[in-house]
Amino acid sequence: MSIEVEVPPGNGAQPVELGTQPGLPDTLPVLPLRDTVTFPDTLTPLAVGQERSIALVNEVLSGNRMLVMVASRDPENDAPGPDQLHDVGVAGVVARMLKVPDGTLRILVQSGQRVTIDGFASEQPYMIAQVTESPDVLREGPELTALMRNVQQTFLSIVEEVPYLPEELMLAVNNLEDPSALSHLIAGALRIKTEEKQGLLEERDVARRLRRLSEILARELEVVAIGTKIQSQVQSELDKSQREYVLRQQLKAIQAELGERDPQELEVEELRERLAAVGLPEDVRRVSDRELSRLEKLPQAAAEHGVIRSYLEWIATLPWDTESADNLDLAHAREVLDADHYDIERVKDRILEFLAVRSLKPDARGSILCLVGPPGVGKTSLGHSVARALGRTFERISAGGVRDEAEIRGHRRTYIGAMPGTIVRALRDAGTRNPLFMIDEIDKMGADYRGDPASAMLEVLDPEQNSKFRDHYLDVPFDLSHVMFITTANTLDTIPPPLRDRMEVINLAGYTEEEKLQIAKRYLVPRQIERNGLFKSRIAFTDGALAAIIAGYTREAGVRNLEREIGTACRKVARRVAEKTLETRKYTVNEKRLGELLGRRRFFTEAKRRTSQPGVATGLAWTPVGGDVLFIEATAMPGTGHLTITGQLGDVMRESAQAALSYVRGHARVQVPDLPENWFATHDIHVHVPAGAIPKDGPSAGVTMATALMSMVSGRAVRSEVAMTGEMTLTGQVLPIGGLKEKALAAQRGGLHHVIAPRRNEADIEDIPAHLRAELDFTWVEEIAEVFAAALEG
Amino acid sequence: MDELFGDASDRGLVGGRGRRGGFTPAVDVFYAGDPPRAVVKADLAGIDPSDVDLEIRGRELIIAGIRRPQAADGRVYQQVEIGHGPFRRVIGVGADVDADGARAHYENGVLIVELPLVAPVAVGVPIENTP
Repeated sequence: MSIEVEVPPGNGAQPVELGTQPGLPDTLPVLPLRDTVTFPDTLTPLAVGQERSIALVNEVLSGNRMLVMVASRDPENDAPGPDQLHDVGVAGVVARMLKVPDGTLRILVQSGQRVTIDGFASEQPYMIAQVTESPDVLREGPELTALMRNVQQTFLSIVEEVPYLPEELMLAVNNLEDPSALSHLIAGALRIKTEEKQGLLEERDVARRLRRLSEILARELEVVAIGTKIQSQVQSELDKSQREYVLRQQLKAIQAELGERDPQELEVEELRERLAAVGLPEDVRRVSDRELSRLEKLPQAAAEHGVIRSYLEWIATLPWDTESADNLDLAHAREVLDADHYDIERVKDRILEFLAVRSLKPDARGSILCLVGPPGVGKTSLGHSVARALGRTFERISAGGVRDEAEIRGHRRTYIGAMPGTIVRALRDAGTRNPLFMIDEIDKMGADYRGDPASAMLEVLDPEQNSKFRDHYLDVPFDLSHVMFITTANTLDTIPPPLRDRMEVINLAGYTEEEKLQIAKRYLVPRQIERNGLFKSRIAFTDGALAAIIAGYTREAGVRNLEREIGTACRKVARRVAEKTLETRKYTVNEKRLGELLGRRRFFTEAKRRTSQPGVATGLAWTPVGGDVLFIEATAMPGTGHLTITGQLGDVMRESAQAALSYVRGHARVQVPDLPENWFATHDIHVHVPAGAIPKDGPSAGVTMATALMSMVSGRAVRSEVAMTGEMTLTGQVLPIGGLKEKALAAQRGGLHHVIAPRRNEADIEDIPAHLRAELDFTWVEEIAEVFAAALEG
Repeated sequence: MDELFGDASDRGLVGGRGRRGGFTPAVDVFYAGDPPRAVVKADLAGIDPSDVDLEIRGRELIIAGIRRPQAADGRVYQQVEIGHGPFRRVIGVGADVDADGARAHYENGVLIVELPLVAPVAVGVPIENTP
């Protein structure tokens, strides 16, 4: 269908009002608004949920689509009546409508003019009001323009800061030239109180409305500014911590660049490097790697941290693969040993043998020597010399008085203050894995409820086991098989047999007077002169003086007291030198001057005096501190044949005393034919062994006791220069004894020149230095009768 | 809301006084040659041609009128999208048009207005010499 349209001619001068607003009806349905206000000439989306309002909208759409929107006074009221509504509202046309699935409506209302409600025509089913338009009062003028610009500017500032106002509003506000429309647009967009909005709506005077709006905007702007300030403060707080974090990261990067690290990391790294530098065995490496990674994860404050750290430090400091080269030059070793020690050929031979084997078979097992001998014979210093000869580091471990197994093997790491045992500590100090360990006083280890250190020592000293020695603290095996062990002891008796069995025993019996003299001349005197700040040019000792010191001021197997006496003499001389009271340039210590320097002579040869009457015999005894001379006294008194034995004798010695008496009783009449037959029945016999305070035991005094008893019975004194030793059977056989050398030395010290010893010990004469052999007369006996013959006078 | 009413919102958050309570019909404008003319098509379905006024003022074409609501009782509305009430559009044309040569007709509810373009005429102005 095509329709011709008549085009009306335009006149161009007056605007033709076409399509203007339909007239406002007298009555309109009222849509109450809850908590919102609409303004004229705006589009308002509304949600309609109340039944009466839904009916209202439906009804309106069927007609001219017009309604009036009025704000309710009480936003809480769901269904306000006419009394609860404001008197001023806005008329509008429903432009769009949609029913949503929940049954409510969404409508878009194109609002028109402001209206005043004059009264209500009906209230059911919805309110219908009588309305009249309430147009703006507009007085043009500069004030209005100024107000308008002010409102525009303020509002634009607010839009910039506030997120809930869309940007398009700025454009709309800028382009609007109608002050009334401007005020309505802005008032509708603002989020202000409903009362305020209603107030703005009711203000008909445009200028006054703009003024009120301007006040509200100013207030809003302030609120927004404060909000922005708070926001920016919060932001800057955030920025600050952010900034700090970034700076810290940068610092880390810079430190890393400079090679600086944070301390804990540095510490772990340092440990890692140290461990890497050590040639750890594979299993130890595994353990240390594991502990390192644990250490990395632990905070520095954790208690475990320090424990793991010191554990790793121990691992790192141990000489897992550090070895010193052995000096296998035999000539050099011989030189060193000779320079440090006089004689003790057997010991030197043994050490040279060890070196010889080493040079032929470098992987030979370490050997374990045990030096047994009295104090002061040079066991410890011999260890030093061996280490020096071999070129090994020397570490001394004292086992004396150790009662706790943990001393040897350490404590488990779980204990507070745990540390490795003495073996591992010594290894650390040595710094090589093949040092020479001198374990001193191994015979003096104790044992109590905490464990037996000797058993721990078994593992250390067993070449079969010690390649996998496991310290409790380290808890990883360490190879001790490269270590050379030398132990020292005064006696073998107190060393547990399994331990004794693992060691090669070398006896150092003590020195003869001649040897002591040589040692004094070669080593002790020069050393003491040096130690006391003197020079050989100022002091000298004559051989006679030294011999006198040895005989009269000391009685020992070793030379410790001898050195002390020499030192005393040197000190006295040193004092005179310092006081400048020395008359001569060089002071010579001779026998005469000894009394002046050292005081009275302390030891005398008492054998002669003691044995001057019958009933006393001189015996030779072996003790851990060397051989000794002992006197056995026997006396008889009227009685009933009792035997009393005193002098702290052990069971073996008491029995041998009884055996001796029985023999003498049986054989007395052979030696003393005129002895009354009932002599023994009418006499009590007392045997005493001085000094009474010292415990004594052993069978080797049997011969001596028999001699003493026979001397008493017969009334024949024992020869004063005779000393004897030997075990005796009940039938008078003389059995061999041990320690002949020590006993011979003791005889020499005691000024006894004639030694009666068992025939079966004759081979031991080899042990006795030649010069001593020459000095002593030996009578080798098999029967006690031979002893009586040799020892008793007359 | 935007989805539902986007169309309406786009076209004017702000209503002018002249638009009060009405709607805005959609309009196409194009130019065609032989003879040179501007063509304006306006979607004015359901509107009685007698309710539409056309006016040409210089380069502006003004279309105004009203879509009258059809009053009826007993309806229950589900949705309402077709605008009702008065409308008024002012369409600027990019060239001088010959108002007298304009023609308009309705075709299937679409109003088509054809405006002949006026060809520019060069007029020479003689310069006089003053003795």
